[in-house]
Amino acid sequence: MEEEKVEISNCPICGGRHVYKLEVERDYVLHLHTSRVIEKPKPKRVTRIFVCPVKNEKFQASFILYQTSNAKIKSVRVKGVIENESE
Amino acid sequence: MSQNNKAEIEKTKLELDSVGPLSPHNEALYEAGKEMLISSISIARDFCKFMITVSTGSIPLYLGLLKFVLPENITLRVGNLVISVIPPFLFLISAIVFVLGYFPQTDYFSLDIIDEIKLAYEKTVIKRRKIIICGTVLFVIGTILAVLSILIHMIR
Repeated sequence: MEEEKVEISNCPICGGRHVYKLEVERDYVLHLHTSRVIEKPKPKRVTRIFVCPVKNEKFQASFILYQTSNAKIKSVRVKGVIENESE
Repeated sequence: MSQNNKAEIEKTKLELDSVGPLSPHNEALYEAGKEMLISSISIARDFCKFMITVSTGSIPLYLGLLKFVLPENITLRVGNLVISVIPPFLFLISAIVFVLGYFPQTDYFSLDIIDEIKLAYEKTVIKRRKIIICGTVLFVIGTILAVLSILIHMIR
């Protein structure tokens, strides 16, 4: 499990700034490379429902996470607000 | 995981794409998911309650049909007797299994600790799911054998 942060600088509900903690689970696969080829990570668009901590209403946000063939994104969970600044 | 890929992932952190109010479709899906999450325990328990009635009710129904099919004052051979007895026995076991599923759950957790609630919830759902599958399999086998038993007695 890896932790990521997503910053919503302009909340569609209250207009404030919120930072949410995300829990990203990746599936790691070991590959045997014969040459030193560095794979370019591919984008994965994820949409999650967030709750505005000021007005306690739901909104959605889409964000891009990057994955490779040997580190695929399995799940992304919103763990909660870590920083909150209301307008 | 190779160091190169780990470094690549570290380099390409999360990028915010769009933020907006909940779309009607996603809102409906959210509500459906919430409903599924809340009602899954009670629905499974209600199903167990329903199946207790169905399983126990199947026993007199089967015996009534058997009595209707069999001629009066007949003495069944051991083989036929076994075939006739197995279905109600399976219905009875199925009813007992469903009773176990209907049994009140005893689990202790604090409402402040989300992980504890989640664990208790998952434990209950998984346990009840296993019981329902087991009970349903027994009931279906019992029903198939009951139909076969009646057909065998009808042919003879």
